[in-house]
Amino acid sequence: MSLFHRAFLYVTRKLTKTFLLLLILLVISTLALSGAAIKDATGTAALNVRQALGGIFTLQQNTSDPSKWVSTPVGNAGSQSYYGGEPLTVDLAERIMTGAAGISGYNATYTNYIVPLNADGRILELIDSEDNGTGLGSLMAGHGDFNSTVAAIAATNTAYDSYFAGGYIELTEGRHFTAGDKNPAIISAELAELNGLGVGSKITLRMSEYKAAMMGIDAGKTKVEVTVVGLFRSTAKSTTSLSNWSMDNSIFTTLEAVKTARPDMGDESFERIQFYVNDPGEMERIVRRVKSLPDLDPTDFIVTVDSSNVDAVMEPLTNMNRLISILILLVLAVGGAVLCLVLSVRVKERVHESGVQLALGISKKTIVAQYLAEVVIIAVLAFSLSAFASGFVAKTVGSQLLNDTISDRAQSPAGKTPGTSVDGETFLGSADFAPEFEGSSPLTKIEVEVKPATAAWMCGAGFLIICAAVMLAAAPVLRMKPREILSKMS
Amino acid sequence: MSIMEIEGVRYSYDGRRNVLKGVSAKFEAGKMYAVLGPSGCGKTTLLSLLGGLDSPASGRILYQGEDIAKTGLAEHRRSHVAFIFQSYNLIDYLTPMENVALTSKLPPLPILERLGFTPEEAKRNVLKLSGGQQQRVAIARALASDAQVILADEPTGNLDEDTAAGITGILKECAHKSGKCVVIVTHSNELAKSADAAMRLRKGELQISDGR
Ligand SMILES: Nc1ncnc2c1ncn2[C@@H]1O[C@H](COP(=O)(O)OP(=O)(O)OP(=O)(O)O)[C@@H](O)[C@H]1O
Ligand SMILES: [Mg+2]
Repeated sequence: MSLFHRAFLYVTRKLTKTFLLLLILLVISTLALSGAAIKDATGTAALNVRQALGGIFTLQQNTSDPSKWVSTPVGNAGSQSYYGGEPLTVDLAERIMTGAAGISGYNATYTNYIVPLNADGRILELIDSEDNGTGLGSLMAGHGDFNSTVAAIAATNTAYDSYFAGGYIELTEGRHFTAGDKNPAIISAELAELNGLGVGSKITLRMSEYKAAMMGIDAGKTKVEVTVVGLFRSTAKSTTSLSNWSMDNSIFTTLEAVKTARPDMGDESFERIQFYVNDPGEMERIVRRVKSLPDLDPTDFIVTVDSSNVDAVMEPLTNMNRLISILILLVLAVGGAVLCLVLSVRVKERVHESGVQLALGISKKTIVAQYLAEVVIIAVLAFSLSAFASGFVAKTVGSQLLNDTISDRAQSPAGKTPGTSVDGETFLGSADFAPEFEGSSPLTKIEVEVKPATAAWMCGAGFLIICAAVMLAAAPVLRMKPREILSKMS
Repeated sequence: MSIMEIEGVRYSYDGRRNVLKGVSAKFEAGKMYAVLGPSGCGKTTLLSLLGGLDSPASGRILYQGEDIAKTGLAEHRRSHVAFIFQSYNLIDYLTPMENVALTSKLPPLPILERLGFTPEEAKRNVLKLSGGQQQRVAIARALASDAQVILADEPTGNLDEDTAAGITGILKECAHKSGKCVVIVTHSNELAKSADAAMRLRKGELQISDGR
């Protein structure tokens, strides 16, 4: 009778023992395989993210360079300073886009604060949200209609807006707009619902009366009518310094519309232009090319390469990848130890049988090989079952882990602007009041599946561990003399 | 000519007290030997050495004139001897058939049938057999191997008189009809009487008494 035949008979006849071992191996292999599948998925996701998000570089005015400021005397009282560098315009963006190959698109933005009215001329009901505790809300409470202002985000192509492109918000209805559209608007679906608005509805934007009075402007003459062309939905939680300046109250529109509502802007242009690069690997080359374009002065601008979009997603992925590697090793080590312990008990219980086999002239090697064969038979079954089980476990655990990792971090897609004066009252850039988002949505789910190669790898590791565990467990038997085993028997 | 021979065998478990103090004996094929002696005198030890489960401190153990230390103990166990134990020592997850087939290439059923098993009994769970039946399976296993020497340690110790007599008869047949050399360690005078030769171990020394 071959050792495989004996191993098979043992496994099929000692069902309780077989079942126990099967359960242990199933748990270990399912955990390890799930882990490996999630690890795989995070790797693939990282790759997809890099490809999907591409790279972004941002152009801002070099306002921190004093030599760029021009001073002109005003009367005999003093002087007025203005930035003398080239303004950020659509024309500039187009020049850059055609001048440097590899840019897929851009969006120029400018944010200011306006009061939105419905068709009846009443101020829109705003969505109440928690502010981030700066106390700005109560500070502004006495400032007339200031608490009814919302962020009007001027954009030249909302599809490339950093909130949309970063996945913090997504279009649920209607369409994106470009600089070519005449007075378009995209508002949040929530704001639309609260005010009975939809795609096609008209909203009027005007300057805050409180602010207008301060500047000596007639607020009634700043009115501009915009048409809602799309609705968006936030995919992640965000906070702002003022409840009324929250993402859900914000209105995307064009620079022309914002300028009409805020004549105090003068001839200010965009605050920043974000360019999207297909292949982040090309980023350095493209940025170099932009800076050397003949028809622009590179000292007029600050070019920042923003990898935060990619980093935001890559970081949790990398962390998760590392965490899971550790978990897999832990599972394998603990699993191996448990297996070794269980097998030790099993070998002890079978000292008698081993003695009989030895007395019959069956070698120690053959006896241990039979133990190994038994575990391998059960392992093959356990590993096959775990391939199915881990598919399910990996999906559930994977998305849970990812959520946990992502909710640990918050970030704002709009970079901070250094000391630009936006509305005369504050010397901070609008980005300082931009909503801060928790986590980022492009990665709230990952594709988890058990790949054959991964399964094969884990099987190999599993069998190595089994071999080691059997050898360790059988060591006492291997060391014993047949006579000792027989005397232990009786 | 003797099939097995022991010459001046000494053995000690602890390296100080000799359990066997220079034992010599000859065993012939076709004969049944009884080894008698008080408890603890070294009977099982002697049988283990004959069966190649361990090697003596000094002295030689020969099988057909060749030192088993040279042949290799495992090889000796596998090819030359077969053990039968007081506690039967069947493998519990194997049927009688499978226990017999464990180390033999001979078809097990005819051997079991010769020892009085029906084909159904031969496929039963061994733990559900009576003591006498289990010991017969152990004998069948010994017969099925090609071993010329059968070493039995108190094979009837756990059995009632009638069953014991039956087992003794079978072992005797093994010696007389199948031409095996059967060495039985026993406390039973009945068994010793039916043996061809009886040996008495006392204080580690062997006294051969051919008389019954
Ligand atoms: N594994 C062992 N380690 C140490 N001493 C042992 C071992 N086995 C047996 N002995 C000792 O060796 C001596 C001989 O033992 P053995 O088992 O050969 O006696 P026995 O004649 O078979 O006794 P019994 O009739 O009770 O079976 C005894 O004193 C026993 O205590
Ligand atoms: Mg004994």
